[in-house]
Amino acid sequence: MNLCGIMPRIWMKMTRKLIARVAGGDLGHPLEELYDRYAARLHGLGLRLLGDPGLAEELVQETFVRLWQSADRYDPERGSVPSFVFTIARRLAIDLWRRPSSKPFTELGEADREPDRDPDDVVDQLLVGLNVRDALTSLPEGQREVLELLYLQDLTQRQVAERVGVPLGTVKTRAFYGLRSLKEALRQRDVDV
Amino acid sequence: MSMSEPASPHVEVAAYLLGKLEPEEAERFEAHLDGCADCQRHLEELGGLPAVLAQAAPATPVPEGLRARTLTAVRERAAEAGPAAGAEPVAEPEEAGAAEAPVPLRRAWWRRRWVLVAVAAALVVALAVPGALLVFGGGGGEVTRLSLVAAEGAQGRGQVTITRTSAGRSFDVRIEGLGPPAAGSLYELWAVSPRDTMERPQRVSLGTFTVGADGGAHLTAFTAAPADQFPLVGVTLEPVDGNPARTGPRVLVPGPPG
Repeated sequence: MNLCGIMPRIWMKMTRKLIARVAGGDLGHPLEELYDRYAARLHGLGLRLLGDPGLAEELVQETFVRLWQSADRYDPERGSVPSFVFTIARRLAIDLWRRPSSKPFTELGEADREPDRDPDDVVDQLLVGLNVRDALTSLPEGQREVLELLYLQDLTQRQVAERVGVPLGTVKTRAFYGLRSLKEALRQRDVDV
Repeated sequence: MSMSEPASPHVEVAAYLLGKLEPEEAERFEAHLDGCADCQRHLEELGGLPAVLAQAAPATPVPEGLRARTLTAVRERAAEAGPAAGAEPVAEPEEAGAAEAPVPLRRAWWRRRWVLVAVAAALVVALAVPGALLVFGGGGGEVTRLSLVAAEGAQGRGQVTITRTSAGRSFDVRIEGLGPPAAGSLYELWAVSPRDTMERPQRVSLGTFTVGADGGAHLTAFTAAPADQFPLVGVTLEPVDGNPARTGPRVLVPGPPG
């Protein structure tokens, strides 16, 4: 279901309800819905920060276990649901990141490790990129495709029209609606634009 | 959707913001913009997006099965906890002070299952191991060549030729440029899994060695440890203390492909 058009306020209210239902012990649909919203970003954070697929999976699983454990303490007055989820994940990720034993034997995945940098800054920066990616992924396919080709792959509008096989006017329209949808999707993810 | 599409040139605001209009198109749009309140509003609302868009992380797929494993992990923990589910004392995320203490990570049940999953995963990983060149030898034995490069802060390099036989794998290793090992230490050669960490070792010792005055060594090692599980090779510097586990720093690690 595409929820991009739903106003962020309603979206946030729905998300708070999911947390409340998990806190009440409903580990069916509400938990699945929360997983679907946050797992890709949590996994991306784990992969980029920790450089190990196993640790990335551990981060996702343990974040949801802790989300369930602390769901009844969620207070909307103190922050949004995404900030609640990512605060849990951030603490877990930094703990794993600092642990010397997380360092893989191979050089794989160590590109993002910069020991002199504050782990909080590293996580902040990674989360922005992951939120933007997640927002893009949530757009209708046609809009996402046009925005990515235009901006991230730097094609001209005509080249995009040829690549996608649609009229030039459709590319322009999709770009316009794509940007509007992206703005809403980013607001749902606590990214101010 | 077409019913609600605004007529051009209003939609040009997107291409304008993304820098996709030709100079003369941009001039035309700017002339239109002067007299169009809607476009001015859109420009203001959407103006911050290109800078944000540029920060998008590359797409990375979430592993198949992680959803089921995660949901099961939570549900099993809840079942273990009983009717007071969710009432376990954990620090509230917003409490800044709680962030100071390292969060202990439990070795959950799913971690044990990973060991089984890891075997299958290693089959996939082995296809993309850096530094490995797979050669099918004329004698029927499959030959893999690996290069070794100096780990961070170390020196030296090496070449490993691995020949599979019916009894296991034979490693012909040529090392160059290593300094003499510190007193009471030896170099140790390992067959390593890509998932190896200090806490969760997944490596098999292939023996210890030292180097000549020229910093070089030529040695042969053998193991029947599965190639799909331990496809990589590395060298560490280990104290001669009778402890068979890896405790010392990495010296040589798998090099780039080719």
